[in-house]
Amino acid sequence: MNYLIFTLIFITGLLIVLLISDKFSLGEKLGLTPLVGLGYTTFLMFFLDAAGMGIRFSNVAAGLLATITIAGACLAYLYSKKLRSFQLFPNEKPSLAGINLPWLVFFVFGAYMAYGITVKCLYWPPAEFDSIEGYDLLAKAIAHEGTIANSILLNPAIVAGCGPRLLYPPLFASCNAICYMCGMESPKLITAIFFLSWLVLFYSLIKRFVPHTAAIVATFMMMIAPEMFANASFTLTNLPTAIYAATAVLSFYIWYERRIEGFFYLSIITLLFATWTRSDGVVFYPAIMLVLLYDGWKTKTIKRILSYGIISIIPFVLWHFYLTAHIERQQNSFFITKLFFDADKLGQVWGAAKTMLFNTQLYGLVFHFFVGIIILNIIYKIFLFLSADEAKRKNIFQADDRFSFLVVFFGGWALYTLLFYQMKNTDGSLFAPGGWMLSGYKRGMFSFVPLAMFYVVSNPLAMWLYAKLSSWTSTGKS
Amino acid sequence: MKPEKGKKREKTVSAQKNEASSGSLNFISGLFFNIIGAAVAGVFIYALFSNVQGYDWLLNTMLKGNFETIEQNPPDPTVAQRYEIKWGGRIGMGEISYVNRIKDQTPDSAIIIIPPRKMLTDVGFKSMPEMPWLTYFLYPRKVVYEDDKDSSKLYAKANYILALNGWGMNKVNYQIQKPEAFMVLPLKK
Repeated sequence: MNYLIFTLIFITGLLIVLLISDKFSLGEKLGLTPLVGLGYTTFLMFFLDAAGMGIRFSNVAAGLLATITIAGACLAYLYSKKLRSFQLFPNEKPSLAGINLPWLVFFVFGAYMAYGITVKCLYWPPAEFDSIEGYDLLAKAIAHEGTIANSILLNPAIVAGCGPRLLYPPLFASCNAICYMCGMESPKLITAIFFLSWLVLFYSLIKRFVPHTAAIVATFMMMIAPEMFANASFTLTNLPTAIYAATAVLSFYIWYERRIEGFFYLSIITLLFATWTRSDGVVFYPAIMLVLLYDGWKTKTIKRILSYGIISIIPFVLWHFYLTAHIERQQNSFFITKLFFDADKLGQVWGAAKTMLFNTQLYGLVFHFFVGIIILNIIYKIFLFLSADEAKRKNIFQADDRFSFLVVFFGGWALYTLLFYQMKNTDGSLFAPGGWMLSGYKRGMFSFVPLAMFYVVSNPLAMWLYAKLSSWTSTGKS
Repeated sequence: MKPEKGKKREKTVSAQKNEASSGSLNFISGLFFNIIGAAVAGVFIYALFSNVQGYDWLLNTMLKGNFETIEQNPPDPTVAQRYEIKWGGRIGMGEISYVNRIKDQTPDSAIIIIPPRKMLTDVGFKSMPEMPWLTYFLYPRKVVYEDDKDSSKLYAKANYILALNGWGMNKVNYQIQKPEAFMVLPLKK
């Protein structure tokens, strides 16, 4: 039974990925299949529940089979009309060229670390407070009672006792519920699937920009960011949100820079999944919309702004209405609902954020590298500007300077940080140990770790370096 | 024509010789740079995991500690036993082992009366007084605390009780032969 449902989920995921685009590489397909499959299945579960059919094993399996049939038929039609090309390895055949000994060193050590954390993940059952008094409790009830509005979510005493963690959007709880529906006693398989798929996907996405060695170094550094690495063995929502949100941003950027249509839709879908996991995934939405507005103004089209703007916000709105309809709110909002300016509080939030970002216990050296590389790039650009003649100065700032990427990164980060500035601190819990800032903020920053590592290896200076190395080695060969 | 042909052949042979020698030179330089690169990668990884606090912790404390714990315990423990190892230090220990006893001694449909929260705290239970925590481990069984006797509709429907240090034994409708400090009892027989 376990194998059946997960096989169906993976087939569904693969077919959806193939429907989105035939331009994804093999690694992207491999990484996306489980992530898209699981995300889609949670929406299916939600709609089965809303339609009154109940979230039962048989219903979910039937729904997945129906999806496979429909998606398969659509794909067959697209292939027959030659609207999609059927290629296992689009654009490129798998090649070991570019794989070298340094790559192998990072790969072998990275594989050992991934193995170690996966063993830890699968050995221990959920033990995190947020999981036990939150989404995994909900997951057990979804699996047993067949509905999201179950005896746990409808019990005011439990809702009040659990706090907001019980009221997160249902993607992660529903994924865990799949395990319980299959008779598993622990849902840790879900965390392992997310983590391992993400490593493959992240490597494949950044491989579009940089050589193999740079891609493996970035994947390795991203993976071993200590707090994030530890979360790869926990049953918490932060890692899945980071995975979906970072995929959304990277996909959006690939579309923006390379104009590969499928990545635009992939970005919408993954941002949709991110906000279906945690509502704070929405911070990237305004930042991406800002770049889209600029693109719309440049290309004089509104279609993309509308499609991105409307679709990716759906889960946020859907879950809000669902909670309003079903839950008797026992808790007061922990946000200040009006805009205000408090320099002291802003300074405190910024101080706490800065301390965390450069704490090697949390993110290792990721943000040290990121900030260092940004400074080096500024110096590099100033040097280019000063050393170039008048005519060439116009070309110093190029499309592939990752400027739009940095807009999304810093826009998302500023909004995310301001969310904490907007929180109430009447009981002093905002900055207390284990409070919102020191506990919540640090985990929400996971979304930015892969993005920072992407920039570290793909910034203009690094690209110049790769080009120099490439020309140097090819000159040596001739 | 002939001498030209000879020249061509000469050129071809020397070109081949050049290609072969530059090919082997490329191979040697490639190998050299690979070995240097691998050494740099190795030193970089070693430096990370021995000098930077966070990386050192995750490899030498978290992962190593975890492998040791797994090795020290019996192979393939149940999920309940894994909780006991994690929180109690070994199988059968810790607060969670008491929760597992409640679970083992009641059916899925049980509604269990739990002693007042203060009493649980006084005997040393840290998490059991929290309703969501206890509900998580006993689900689908339902729990109702003695403190909520008047406000909870579940209380009247309860069919089991957790008797603690003699508390609760007067609520069952039968005589208890061998009273113990921690007992899970059906309310009616």
